[in-house]
Amino acid sequence: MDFTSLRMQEFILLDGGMGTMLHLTAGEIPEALNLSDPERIAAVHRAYYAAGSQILYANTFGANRLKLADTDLDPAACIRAAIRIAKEATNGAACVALDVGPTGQLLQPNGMLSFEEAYACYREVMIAGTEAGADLIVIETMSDLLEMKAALLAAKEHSHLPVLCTMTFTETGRTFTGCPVSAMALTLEGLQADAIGINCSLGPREMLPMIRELADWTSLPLIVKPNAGLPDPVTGIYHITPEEFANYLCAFADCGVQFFGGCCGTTPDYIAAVRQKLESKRRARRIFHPQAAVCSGTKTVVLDQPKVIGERINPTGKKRMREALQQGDLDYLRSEAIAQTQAGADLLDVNVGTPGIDEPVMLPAAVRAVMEVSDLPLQLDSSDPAALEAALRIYPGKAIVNSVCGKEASLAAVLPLVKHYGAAVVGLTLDENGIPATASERFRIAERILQRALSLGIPKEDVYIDCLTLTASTGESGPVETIAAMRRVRMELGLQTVLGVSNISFGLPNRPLINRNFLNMALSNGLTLPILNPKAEDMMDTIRTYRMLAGFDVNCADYIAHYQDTVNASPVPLSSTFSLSEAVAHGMKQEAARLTKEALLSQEPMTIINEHLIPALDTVGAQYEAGTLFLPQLIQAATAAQSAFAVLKQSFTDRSEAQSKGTIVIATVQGDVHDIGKNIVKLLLENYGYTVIDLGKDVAPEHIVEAAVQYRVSLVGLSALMTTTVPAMAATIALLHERMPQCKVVVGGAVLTEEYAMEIGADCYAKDAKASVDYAKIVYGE
Amino acid sequence: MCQQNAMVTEIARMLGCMHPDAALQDRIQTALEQVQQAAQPRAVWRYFPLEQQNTPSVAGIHLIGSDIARHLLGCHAVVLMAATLSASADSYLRCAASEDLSFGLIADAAAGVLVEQLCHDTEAAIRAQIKSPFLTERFSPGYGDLPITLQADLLRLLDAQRTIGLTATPQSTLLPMKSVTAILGCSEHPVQDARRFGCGSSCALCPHKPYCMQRRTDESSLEP
Repeated sequence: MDFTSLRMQEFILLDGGMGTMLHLTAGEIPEALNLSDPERIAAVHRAYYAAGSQILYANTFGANRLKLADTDLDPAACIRAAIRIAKEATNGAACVALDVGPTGQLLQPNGMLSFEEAYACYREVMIAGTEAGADLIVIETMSDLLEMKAALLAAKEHSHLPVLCTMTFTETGRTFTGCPVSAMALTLEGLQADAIGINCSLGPREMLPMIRELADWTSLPLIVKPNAGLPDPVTGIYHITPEEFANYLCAFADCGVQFFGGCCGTTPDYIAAVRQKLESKRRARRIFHPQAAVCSGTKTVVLDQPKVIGERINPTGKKRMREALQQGDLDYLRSEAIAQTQAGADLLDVNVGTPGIDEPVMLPAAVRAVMEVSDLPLQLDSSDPAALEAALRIYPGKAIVNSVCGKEASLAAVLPLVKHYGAAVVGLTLDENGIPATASERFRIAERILQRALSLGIPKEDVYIDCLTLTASTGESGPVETIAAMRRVRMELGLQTVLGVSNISFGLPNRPLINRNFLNMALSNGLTLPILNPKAEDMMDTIRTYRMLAGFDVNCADYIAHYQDTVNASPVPLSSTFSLSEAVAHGMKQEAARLTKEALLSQEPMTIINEHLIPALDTVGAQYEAGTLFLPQLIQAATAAQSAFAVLKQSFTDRSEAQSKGTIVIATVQGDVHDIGKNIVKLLLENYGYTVIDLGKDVAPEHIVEAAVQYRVSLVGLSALMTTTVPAMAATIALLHERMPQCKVVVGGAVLTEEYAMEIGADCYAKDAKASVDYAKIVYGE
Repeated sequence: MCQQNAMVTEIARMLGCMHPDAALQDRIQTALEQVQQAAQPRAVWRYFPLEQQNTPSVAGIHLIGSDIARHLLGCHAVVLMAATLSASADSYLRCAASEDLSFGLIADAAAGVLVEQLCHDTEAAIRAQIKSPFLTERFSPGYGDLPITLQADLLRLLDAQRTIGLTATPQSTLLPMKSVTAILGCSEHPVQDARRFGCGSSCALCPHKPYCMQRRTDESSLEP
């Protein structure tokens, strides 16, 4: 039977556990049996078919090159054999699914595997399975939404087959990597999966509330494939009987579930019991109310009230951000992401467009950096479709694309991307003729964008309109027209509305005053997604007050939580009596920055460094070595010094007298993910006036050498924490010595010793961060 | 509360401070609470018969090295266990270190102590359920000459990716980072369960004693 006709049935029966039925002996790999003992696999398929299974999962769960890396098995050969076995087992009577499981490796940022590597791995699987004649594809037992996305995209881009997607959840209602049910639904429906659901994940009882939630989030057919409870750790026996299992599964029919099967611990007896129970059931009709929402891989944001989009990650008019992007300093982006998240942003805009930046490379890199430190959904902001696509691919979840406009070229380039990657999109009300002056013309462009999106199958909930804030100083009717257009878009089209708020006050005095009043006006007239600086407290005050007054803040809970301490706020501390050196030594970050600014009024930057900062750091360093002060305090002092240097750096750039003592490339070697030690070294080196090119962790030898050549450094610092990654360190050193014989290498890390370091060819072994600085001084002849 | 205090002391010790001042203690306390909030502790364990021929082996996996052989002397079975604070703890640690490296370092140490506590609690659960009258201490890949490359096999035997979301990289790093695997031997007879490796109850027998920075100075009071 083919899948299309199967899809019309009231219920569709999947199979049960494969591993459970194979009774593997020591060292047996299930996928190897496709080649060595096909009859054993065929027998399992026949048993499930006899029990009533209509879709058989071929024995390909782990047949991918990452999972089989330690074996000499060819994944494609395993897949071809497995599909053939399953088809022949029932002479084509049952549908055969290519079964796709996780790679076994965690994706970045939790792990080391890149999206591209995962995608390449799955592409092979999808091609092999499709060519072998599978009737459909199932991707199952996924925990990471990004890995699921890699597999689903690989399937959609390299196969015409329908794709069923199921993920595995814990009792918290999230997967192991923190993906909630809602984010799975939003993302996979957007990526055009054909049915979605939950498999594995504890037992059916725990799964029921999650399926109920899932049903509210998707219009797609639903799948359940639970375990038979949990295994006893001593006997390995699962505790739910076929009868109990079938009873539980009937409750899923009442949620409208269409696909039923079993996972770990289930056998043909379970499937037969389910089949029998379902014979007298009908599946409940589902009523689905789509809602506007976006998500990251771990957080869903429902757009049911005004939500703030943080605007800070954008180089336009921000010198520090522009410099950071040009220098590839993603730490600055991370710090802005953290600050905006903490300040109460609901979403973050990410824009890297500035001269000298290769956007298709930098936008995904920036997105990855932001996602390392923030769980907020992102708005990908670029006018370059190639950059948008590069970022959309690697983004786990449902993003907002900012933006498309009414121009034909823009509609034709951007909207298909939005559809393919299941994103939401911001439409700007401008076209070939520029920004219309009147509200009615802008409204017409909004309508046109909406119609075009709908014609491509992008739902209305995913189209947001930006009626464009024009600077108030350029014409008194500008703000009113913007507001009027936005009001109509919200009221008449029912769409989400976006507005960059602070543009309104450009060129006028007391900008914050204008910004917050305009924000208020806009909110009252239907603005749902203000783009603003969440670190501006008066703006967030306005948002919170509006939410409360407009009835979105139940019991004023959020408002009270934020402001209850305002009345009896502690008095502002009197200015301290600390000196700059003391502030640094005590690790007082803000105080050190403030005192540095003060000192700059009467002293030269170099004097401040040489007479206050360096002596303070030396004192702290000496105390650390003497054991009277400890690593956290040393780092705290270094961080305080860094904030002082940041202040000085600005005055340096002003007077162009910045003097670096030398450039040093540092990295944690390939295969190693431990970077806290390397980060400490970086901080201390910067304190002592060196420019540090930090390549991050898990860095390939070639990449390190390229950077060393590019920056023409005299010193490279390498870190490794595992005995298994020291060989990568040795390989890096060898390559460095070959390509840059004059370049010195300092190494550090828990498993290294002086002797070991010399053995692998390092020039210096640093027992701690301070020792790295001491060696840098020698290399750079201080 | 008492346990929290003990953990604060232990975290300070991991950071190299035997006598942390009040300010540092406060920061440790805060870090500990935040990691506890972020972490989703999970553990899995399974009982396996042990084959003792030339080398001890579990379900076809040879436990290589003289140290594990000595550790499992006289045992007829083992319990394999794996424990993790989950990816949510790693995410938290990443943010913490990105925001403030000093605090991030403290949080990292706190997570280390918490995963050790999780192992301790898991071991207690194992001891309560296992019928064998005697169990050895926990022994992990990387202790002594038991190779760390064993991680992938242990995880496979425990189906740890499915059950607790734990994986190993090709270089045998456990991910999520704050995770542990261990082997406990089961015996009908008393075992010599002095813990010779890792950091636990005894420094006296530890081969790392001469140079270990974590060595307890009040060792005598801790010895049985």
